[in-house]
Amino acid sequence: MTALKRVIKRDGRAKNKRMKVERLSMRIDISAKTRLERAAAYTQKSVSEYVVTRALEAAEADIITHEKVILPEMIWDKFFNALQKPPKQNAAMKALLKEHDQAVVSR
Amino acid sequence: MYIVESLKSQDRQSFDCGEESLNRYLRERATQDIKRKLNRVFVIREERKDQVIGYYTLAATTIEAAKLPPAHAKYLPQYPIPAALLGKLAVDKAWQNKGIGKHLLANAIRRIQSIEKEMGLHVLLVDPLTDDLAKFYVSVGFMQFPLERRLFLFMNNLED
Repeated sequence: MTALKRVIKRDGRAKNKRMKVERLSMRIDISAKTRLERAAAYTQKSVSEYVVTRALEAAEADIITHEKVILPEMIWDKFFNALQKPPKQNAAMKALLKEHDQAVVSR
Repeated sequence: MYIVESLKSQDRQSFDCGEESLNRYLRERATQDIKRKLNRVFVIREERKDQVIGYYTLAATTIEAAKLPPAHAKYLPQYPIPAALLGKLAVDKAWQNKGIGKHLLANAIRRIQSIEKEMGLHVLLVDPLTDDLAKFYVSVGFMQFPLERRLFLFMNNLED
């Protein structure tokens, strides 16, 4: 679990440094590789582009399914208090909703 | 007038918000995510036009305490607390700085409010990409907690 927490933290930091590139290499058997090459060719992508985009899609899906928001004690107390006694409504939010209601049809 | 509705077959091929991952998401993945019920995707367009000028995604999530104080439990009819996550929000470059992003945020709130009564959904979360965006969300009432990147909007007190 601590290893997982570390990875999550790192992912959060990495999000804000989008340009940084790292290498990920792996061994796969030849039939799997040719299959990936074949699929990549159909979608006009290089094998690494193909693997990365497909893997990221799957990763995001898995993250959404598994990631609940778990708040540490210190934040939980603040969160709980706010939930019981939400901050007073904000004029900017009121204006935002009013502008929306006048300009947007929601279906 | 603008129309905001679920992503179906609206024209999204030329959508460009300046952030390639968000463009690609709309072109290539959004439909799959909807089918797999991971996300709901809503797009904004001008009335009588088909071109997508912005979009956002909503997903369901839950919030819980790492360690729930027993005294809190009785105040929480639903626990873990159901919440909505505004996962992505993007506006086409040609339409930026015209209030479209604000309309999208407001639309997400309105949509959640309309299901709130049955679902008891009171919290909207965002995970802003930049500090400027975070400042904007805070300025309209999202709460920021120390050491937590995500921002929280408590929706049970938005209007009088």
